[in-house]
Amino acid sequence: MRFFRNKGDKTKKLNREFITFIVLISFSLFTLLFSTRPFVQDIKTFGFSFFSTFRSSLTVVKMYFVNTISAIRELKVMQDEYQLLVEKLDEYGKIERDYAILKNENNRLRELLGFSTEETTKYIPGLITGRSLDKYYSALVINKGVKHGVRKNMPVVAYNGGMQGLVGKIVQVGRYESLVMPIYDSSAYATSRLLHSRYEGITSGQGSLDLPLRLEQVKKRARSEISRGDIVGTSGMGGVYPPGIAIGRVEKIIDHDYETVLEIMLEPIVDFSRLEYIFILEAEHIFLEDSDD
Amino acid sequence: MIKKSMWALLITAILILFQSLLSPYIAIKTVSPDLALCILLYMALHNGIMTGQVLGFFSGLLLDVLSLAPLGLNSVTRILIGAFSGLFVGMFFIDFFLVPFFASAIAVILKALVFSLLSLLFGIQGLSVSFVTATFWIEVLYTALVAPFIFGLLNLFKPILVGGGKRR
Repeated sequence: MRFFRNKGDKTKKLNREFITFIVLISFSLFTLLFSTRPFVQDIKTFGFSFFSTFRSSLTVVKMYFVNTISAIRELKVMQDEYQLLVEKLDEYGKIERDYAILKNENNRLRELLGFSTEETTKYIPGLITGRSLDKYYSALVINKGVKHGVRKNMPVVAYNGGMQGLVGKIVQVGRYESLVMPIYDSSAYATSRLLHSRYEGITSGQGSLDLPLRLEQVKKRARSEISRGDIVGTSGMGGVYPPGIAIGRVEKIIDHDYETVLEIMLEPIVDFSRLEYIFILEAEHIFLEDSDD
Repeated sequence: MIKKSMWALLITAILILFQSLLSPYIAIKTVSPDLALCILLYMALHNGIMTGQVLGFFSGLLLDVLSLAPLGLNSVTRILIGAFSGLFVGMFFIDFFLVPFFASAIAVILKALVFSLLSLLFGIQGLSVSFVTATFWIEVLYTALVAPFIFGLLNLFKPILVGGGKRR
């Protein structure tokens, strides 16, 4: 039951609540309206940096327990594997000699073709420490930030089955952590090229890692030259991603009669459901934004 | 009211951090329960409109800062949910299961509705809300099932989170 000394108390309370509601909603709506402007992004960056310090500390504790439990389990397995490895060592000695011969031959061939052997791309290794808090915005939190040389718009890759695949790009950088927009996010786009037939298109996500990526704007005349399983990689156009990073494999080709372009569904190279370790690329030609942190 | 809200906000921040870290282990088909929403509902249902909307504002702002969502999206949504939930303060007995379950389910649906409306009004890129996908209903059910446990956990801190002020 509700009791009031008089009606005035109730009216006063309602007025106070209503005014507070109007003030908070108005502020939030204005913030939302201007949330693509740089000065609001600075507030986001500051707030993100502030909380990333706590999250990174908790990550250290979490990783300690996870690693300790894993280590105990693995110790038993390692004892058996040791014996097997000693036998394999002899075998690998022979393989190493063959590799040295092949490498020399490869270098000679590259010299003949005039390719540069200098690496212009630096790799910053990182670990995924968290994922998005809601299902509407896909984001991966990694344990590298400004302190480690990470900047906004740097591409992120990972290795899966021996192949380098595109994960996404850095969209927000804090002092110790960064946010990665994965390629399967519905806002993510990458200029792409079918590595076999060389036709170009644009790859985008569908908002979930359970859904395939979508390659669009590929001319219909390419239909006869595209097969299931063909690899799609970055084309390097636009300056965001360096060329040649594998994005996905062709899974399905959709040819609408009313369209002049094909719609191709891709299975990502990277298995995002099991992704743990990533590499941030610091390539020379990529356009980067300076972080204000 | 301020003290209760600050304590609730601190608990929200801690749960959000844990949710972000443990998401790969607790998610079902990439969907995690919305723990911050459960805390907001608890505070609004026990303390009223003022606490609900203030906590909704700050917890929404926190979520916006920590995610890729545009700043203001979650704060608008959670102000509305907090204020709406606060209307029902004192109207019924908050039991262990039924009230938290149904309140959370309705709150998740309301959240999706508000997101759809804001996406339409502000032309927010990349925000696609669908009521017919399995992931949406998994989120509704998962959050609703977790809510009784969150309410139970918060009941342990009832002296600092609830009461002390006038309610309707």
